[in-house]
Amino acid sequence: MSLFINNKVEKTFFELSGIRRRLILLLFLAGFLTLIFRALYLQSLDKNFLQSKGNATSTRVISLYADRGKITDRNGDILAISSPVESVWANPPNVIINKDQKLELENILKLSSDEVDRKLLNNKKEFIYLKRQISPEDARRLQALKIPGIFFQKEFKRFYPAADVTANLVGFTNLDNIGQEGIELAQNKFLSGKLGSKKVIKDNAGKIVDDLQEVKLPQDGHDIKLSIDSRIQYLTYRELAKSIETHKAKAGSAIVLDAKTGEILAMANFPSYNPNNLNEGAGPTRNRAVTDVFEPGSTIKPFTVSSALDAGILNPSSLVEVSSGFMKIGSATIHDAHADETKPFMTVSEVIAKSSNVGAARIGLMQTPKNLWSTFNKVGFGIQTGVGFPGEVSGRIRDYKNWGKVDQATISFGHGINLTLLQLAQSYTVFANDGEMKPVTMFKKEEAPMGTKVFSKQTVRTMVEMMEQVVEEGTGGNAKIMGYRVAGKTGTAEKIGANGAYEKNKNIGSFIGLAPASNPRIIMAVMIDEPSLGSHYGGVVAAPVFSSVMADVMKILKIPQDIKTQNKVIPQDKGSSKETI
Amino acid sequence: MALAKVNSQHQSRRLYFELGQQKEIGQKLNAEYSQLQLEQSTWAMHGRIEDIAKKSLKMKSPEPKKIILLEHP
Repeated sequence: MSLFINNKVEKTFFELSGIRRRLILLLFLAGFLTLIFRALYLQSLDKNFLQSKGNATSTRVISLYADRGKITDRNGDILAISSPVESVWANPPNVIINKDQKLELENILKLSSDEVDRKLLNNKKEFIYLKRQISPEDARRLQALKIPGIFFQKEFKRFYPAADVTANLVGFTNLDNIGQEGIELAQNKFLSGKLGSKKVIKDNAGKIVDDLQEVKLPQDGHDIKLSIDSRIQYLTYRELAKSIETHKAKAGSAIVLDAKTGEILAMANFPSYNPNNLNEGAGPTRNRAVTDVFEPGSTIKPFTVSSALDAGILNPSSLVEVSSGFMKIGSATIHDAHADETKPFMTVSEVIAKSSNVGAARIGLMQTPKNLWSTFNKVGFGIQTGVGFPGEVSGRIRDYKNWGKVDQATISFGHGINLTLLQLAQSYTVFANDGEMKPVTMFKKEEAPMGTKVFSKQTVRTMVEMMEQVVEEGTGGNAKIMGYRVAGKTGTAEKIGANGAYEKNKNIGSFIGLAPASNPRIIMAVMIDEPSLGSHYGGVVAAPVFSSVMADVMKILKIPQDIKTQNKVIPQDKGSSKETI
Repeated sequence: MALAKVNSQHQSRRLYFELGQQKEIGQKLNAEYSQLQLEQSTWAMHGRIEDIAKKSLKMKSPEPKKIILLEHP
């Protein structure tokens, strides 16, 4: 059989003419050659173009998110943290939505019907945010509706658990996680990470199947540990707010310092705002304790006196002429708020305890302008603390070369000079460190920094004893704490109005003190702006804040008592103290 | 040879995909951790605790007179 067929095929084959055979062979050859050339062409000459086309369909560059660092207090309690949320965006021309879905969408996103219409209807744009940063639960509910043309994008939102208590200090970020105020702004670079990216190959289902080794790793931001103790911060804020509300004041600030290390344990301002809900308007975002200056008044008298003691011009028992509370320099008259007419002289100690302006002016005038100025300069007046807070101001003290006699006299009791509450608090570290001033810091320190020597140890001892008298029997009675010796100084200053003159009914009441006085560990400064109800004296509006916060701080930090409690009783009624400056 | 290459490429892609999945799980856990931290600090807000202690538990700070300090030698 097969032989037969073979014969037949052979026969047919040979029947073909030679020309036709060659022609067909040639055609095949030409075909193959074309294919080979085409292959060569694609492989070599057109390679780049084709590869880029191929890559475009399968490779993707995706960004890798970097976390923004946390801000915590000294014990690790969280003050600011980023948490993932979803942002909803739409490609309006592709959105297909029915009535029910739209209603549900408005419900979840809390948008008005008009707003949704405006965003989705007749919008030629291909990208529009419907709402940014919604909670993961809301996102899940919305995803369940499966509306075509609506997409989700993961973002990080900043949360501030302590809310208004630390708002002016910690600050806040904007929607794009860039610091706008406070520590968030000052430390933005350190906190924010660097976005990374990588090239990958995705399959048709969008799964990542290969990594092209072109990776830029994201760098997470660093965490920041503040020197703040959130327990003390809370107490400070609470008591400050209470006093401001009781005395119907405009505002106020308070600072608690670790006296030995200069660490800021609390820095509170009132009124404050909630940084978690900035839609309601940020409100008073300034950290007044650092950005606003005020005339310190009597709280700087201890420096005038210490400066004289240190220069050897005075000793604590020297008598100073107070002229029954009046003193004329040229055309200006200095007077004491509550003068004792029968007393033409006071001891130095009494000048502090009774806060005599005339006495302080006399002591100031005993010194050369240069000596007094350089004391103020050494304790940091007129110089930024360098705490690194945005908007910090340096305050102002004029050059001693331009001082007239009146200037020197008024500066001696804290007028004609202005400073921030932080500068004031920092200056008092000299009284806790044998005459050395420690620089303040907002960040947790492991050990005490080097200080600058301002006064001798002996001068500081004497001064602290005098300031104890302020609390024992002077203007600062409301600052007493059971079980602890307290040294401090009250201050009440009239504010300077728009026309440059002092305004009688606008005051700043302040108090600054140290405890325990036998070996000061904590400094607290309180400033109340324009108290209008009850009293405007620092001893009444600010000293009680000191007392109630300090009493708890002593307990929280387990600081041993330095007087036997049985012998000491704190005043029962804190509202009725002696009204002296 | 060619088949071996194809095979190893496939294996590497499969493993890489798995790695990606594990990383994603890691990210999810991280996100959850941050949410839990946030939740914890919100529950632990000093103001809230004080409120509960005062209002529902009727607690108050002892008067200074009632505090007796014990010193150990």
